[in-house]
This record gives sequence, C-alpha cells and structure tokens, in this order.
Amino acid sequence: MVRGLGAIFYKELRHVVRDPATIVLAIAIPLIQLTIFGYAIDTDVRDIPTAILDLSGTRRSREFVSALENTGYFRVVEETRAIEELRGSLRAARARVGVVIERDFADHPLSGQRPRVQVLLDGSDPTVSNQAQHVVLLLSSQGTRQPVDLRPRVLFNEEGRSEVFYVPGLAAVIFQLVLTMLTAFAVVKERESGTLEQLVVTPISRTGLMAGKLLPFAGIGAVAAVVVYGAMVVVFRVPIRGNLATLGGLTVVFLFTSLALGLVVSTLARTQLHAMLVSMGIMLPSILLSGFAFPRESMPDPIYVLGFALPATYFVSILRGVVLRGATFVDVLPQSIPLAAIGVGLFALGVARFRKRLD
Amino acid sequence: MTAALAARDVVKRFGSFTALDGVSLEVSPGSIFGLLGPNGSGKSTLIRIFCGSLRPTAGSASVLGFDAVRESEALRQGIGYMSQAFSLYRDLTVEENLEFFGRAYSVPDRGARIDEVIELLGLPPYRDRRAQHLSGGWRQRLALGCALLHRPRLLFLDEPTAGIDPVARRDLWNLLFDLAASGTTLFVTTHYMDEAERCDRVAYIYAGRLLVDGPPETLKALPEVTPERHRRVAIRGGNATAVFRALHGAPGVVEATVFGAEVHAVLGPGVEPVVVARFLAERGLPVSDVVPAPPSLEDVFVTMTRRSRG
Repeated sequence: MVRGLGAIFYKELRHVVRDPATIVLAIAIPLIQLTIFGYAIDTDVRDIPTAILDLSGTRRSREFVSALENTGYFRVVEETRAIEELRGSLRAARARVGVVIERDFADHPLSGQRPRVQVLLDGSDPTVSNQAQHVVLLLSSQGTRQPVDLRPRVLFNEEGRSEVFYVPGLAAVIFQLVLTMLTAFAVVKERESGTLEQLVVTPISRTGLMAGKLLPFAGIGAVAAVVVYGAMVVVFRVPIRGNLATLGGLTVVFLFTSLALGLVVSTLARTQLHAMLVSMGIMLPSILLSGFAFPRESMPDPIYVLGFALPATYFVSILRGVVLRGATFVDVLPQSIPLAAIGVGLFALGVARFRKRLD
Repeated sequence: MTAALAARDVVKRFGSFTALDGVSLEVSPGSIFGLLGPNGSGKSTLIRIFCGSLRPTAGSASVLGFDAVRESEALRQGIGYMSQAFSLYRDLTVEENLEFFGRAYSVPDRGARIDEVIELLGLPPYRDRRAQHLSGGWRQRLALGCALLHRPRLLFLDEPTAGIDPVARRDLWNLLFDLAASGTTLFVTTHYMDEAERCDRVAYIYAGRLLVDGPPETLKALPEVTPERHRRVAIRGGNATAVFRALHGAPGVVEATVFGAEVHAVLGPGVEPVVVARFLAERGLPVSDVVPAPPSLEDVFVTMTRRSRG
C-alpha cells in the first residue's frame, strides 16, 4: 500500500539538506512572527488620545480629569472650548475619546444628584471604544455615593494580559500557514520541473508518494513547534498548565492535518503560482474565522460553520485549553477528534486526487 | 513468441488535436525498435501511452503482456523510461538520483548495482556532482542509468541522443547493442537516419499516423519508394550544387537531392543514366559517374511523407 514511501522520504530529505534555507525559514518564520505579533496584538489599549471639554472649569472637574489620566488608559491631547471643536477632534482622529464635563459638575455636592460627565467614544475602532467604555463605567461606579461593590475576578489569565490570551492562538495560526505552504508545492513542483514524468512511471504508490512527502516536513514542523512553545513560555511568560505529552501528541495531529491540507492544495494546483494563491486564500479565513482574532460565538451561522473546515479552528481551541486552562486530553477530545478526522480525510483526498498520469 | 510491445489502433486526442490517429505496431522481445518522425508527430505521446502515463482515447496497448491502461501499475517494474526532457532531480547528485530510483524500484543489492551502473556509464568522476552541473551528454547517461538500474526487460528511450556529441552518441549506441544482446527490448525514438539504420525494425510516424514499419532493408525495397520502372541513381564527380540546379525540372528527372558531394536522383521510366550524363555535359557540367544507388532510409521517409500528403 505504501510502496515507495522510503524512496520519496529519502529524496525529500536530500532536497531539504541541499536547501537548508527551507528548514531555517520553516522554524525561524513562526518564531519571528510569534514574537512580533505576540507583542503587537495587545487589546489592552493604553494611552487612548483624549480630548477634554471642561464646561465646569472647577477644581473638582480638574481633579476628575487627572483621575482619568491616572488610570493610564487616557492621555489628554486636547483641551477644547466648544462641543464642535471636540467633535472635530474626534472626526480627525486626533482624539479617540471626548470627555465633556457639564457646567453643573461641581454644583450639587450634597443634593444627591450625580455629577454629569458625557463621554464620546470613537466607534470606528471597537477595541479602543470598548476598552474606554469599560474604564469609564468602572470610574463612574466608584464615583457614586453608594458604590456598587463589584469585584470582578478573571480566571486563568489573572493579570488580564492580552498576550496570554493571544499567543497560543497565534502559534496555532502561524503553524498552519507555514506547514500548509510547505506541502502546497510538493506535487506541483514536480509537475513544473518535469520530474513528475519520471516519477509516474515508477512503481511508487500514491499513498507512498504522499506520505513520503509529508513526513520530512512533519519532522521540521515538530522542531518548529518545540522552538515556538519555548518562546511562548520564555518570551511571553505564558505558562503551560496542561500535560506536555497531551500537548505534544495533539501538536503532531495538527501538523499532520495542516500538511495534508497543503497536499490537497498541491494536487489541485497546476502551477506553483496557483498553489501560492490558494494558500493565500486559506490564510485569511484561518486568521479571521478560527476564533484566534474574533470570538466564533458572535459569527453569523454560515461563517461559524465555515470555521469548522479549518484545522486552525480546532487547534486554537485545543492550545488555549491545554496551555492556559490546563485542560486534559479528555477535555479537548471534542476538538481533537474532528481535527484528526479532517486530517485523515484531507490525506485520503490528496491521495485520491493524485493520478499517476500526465493528462 | 508473443510481442514485448503491441499497439492496436491507438488514438489519442488532446481536445480537438489528434496526436495519434490509429497507430498499430508490434515489437518482438530482445529487438531494437526505432521510431522516427518529425517533432510533434506523436512519438512521445505513444511512448507515454505504453508507459501508462497517458490513457489512449481509443484502441489498446499491451506491454510485456500487461494492458497499459488497466494494468499500468503491474507493468512499471518491468519497464524503464528515459524521457525526452531531463526529468531527474537537479539538486541531487548523480549517486543520490540513482539511490532514489534504486529505492523506488526496490532494486536488490542496491549499493552494488548502483556502483555497477556508475561504472557501466563511465560516471565515476561525477558520482558526487549535482545533476544540474552535468553537461548534456552526462545528463543523458545519468538518465539512462536511472532508467536501466532495475534491469527492466523493456526500455523506452525518447530521443536519447538529442543534442549530444558524436562520441557520446556512439558510446550510447554501443551500450544499447549490449543491452539488446542481453535480451532487453529497446524502443528508441530518434531524428538521426544513421541511428534508424542500426535498428532491427523501424517505423515512421507523421502527423499521428504510422506510415511505414519494418526492417530497414525491407523498407528500402518497398515498391512505393522506387516506383515501377523508375530507377535511383547517384551522380558523382561534378559540382553537386550546380548539377542539382540543372536537374531540377529537367525532363525525365522525377526528383533530385544533394547528398554530400553527390546528387541522388530518381529517373523516370526509360531514362538511361547515360542520358543524364549527356544532358549535364551539354550544359557545361561534366560528371564522372551516374550509377545505380539504393534508396536510403531518408529517401523512404521523404517518399512516404509526400505520398501521405497526397
């Protein structure tokens, strides 16, 4: 059934040895991307540019403004004198938040009426506006006579560091992109360079060919995974709470599935350019629909269902579970089983699509 | 004895283009079969059908007793194929390419066999050289080495001598004769007439149709090649170019071709060689000899091609 696997494996290894840049890139790119994007993707927005319209102009109002600034979330960039000026500042995006302190802010300290502050949020950047809204609400509740005793406690990510939430998911997405790309060229390259002509007349079986092409890259992927997990722990101080064997085993399943996806791309494409374009086509949905960037729960049904077709969807969830929540193998079975099934299905599809013929 | 290779009414169409139009042929075991024809006439397509890498649109092909379509996997181990374009791995060395094909065909005692083939093809100095850094002749040898490494009973060689120097060409043919002598059946395509002469049997394909097929001597004796009461002569000892021009359109001369220092001509019925000599002398072109000459294979193919065009 797998006749020729050894021959293809041998040959692919020689190709890799001849071209060490491939290994270096396959390991370095995930590492570099994880480092850069791990730092860049920080939804914990600070220093939001803020414009103030202080109609009260009292000591109390100035205290309020400095209290805003002291949270660290707001940085006053403009003091405006009229509401139009404030709106203009928001429209030009010089400020993301506008704070209007009403004329009667300091008036009725004992009347029981709460001091009025109007906050204008730039809704064109939801991350920023959500964050600002959150902080403002927190401030206003503390400013009331009878403050609500609200003490939220965040589980698993106690410090609320967004990198802890994003880095494992980022690792999953980057792995899928790099691995899929590695095998996407496997068959189409042989077709373009003419070597397929000689390959199809050998007794090498289709399964042997596909498995032989996949295995060396799985090895490279495994090394890259160890390096990236290492960076996750050391650079981003994301603790791995789950079992390492569970993490390793499921990573292997994910490597296989992503590489099999690449093989399918390779059998669909007639040229290396096609393979590249198809890989790019898979890339964006993997980032946007896998639950890595946006919560899948809020997606419309068809898009939500589409996410199930992507290996990254399962692995983002598996990694967050095992790494952050210390989930056990049994806990993540609902994600692992479909991931493995998709992998086997894609591999079978790749074998079925590949014909040992030239027409 | 059953044929090593047989095609029956093979038709291959690519869209509206007909690459092969009802080709039938048989090759007996242990013989060298030469297939000639211009570029695009369907030679490579026919080989690919025999190898099972293309499926015929109609007709059937059998190779070593296997059906080339239904049993293509079973026949792979018995055949070797050297494609027209270099199709080995350029970034791999000579030895690595052989190692790969050795594994692919599960060659027994692989290491010793690879050494043997490297020796046989004179490749020892290039053993560790990458295929991309080999010159044309050495690439062809490596390709042949990879094709015969697993001792196939049948070897397809698609223009094995295209673009290589005469010494390499002669070496290669000597090797092919050795292989044939040891019982390997060879199916060779070529453009060279002298190579065709070396084959046991030759076929000529033109625009997807097989025009003639037989041993070279039989083909030269075909009545179509030299029509009844016509005769072929060689005209020697004169200015070949001037003679050719003078004969072009001369009465009784059906055809004339410059052939090195000679002019070969086909004379119509009743035209004696001496008449031709006199005709030329009258035009100030004395020649020493006008003697009967047998047709060459080229004459055969030229004649058959003209006939097929009508």
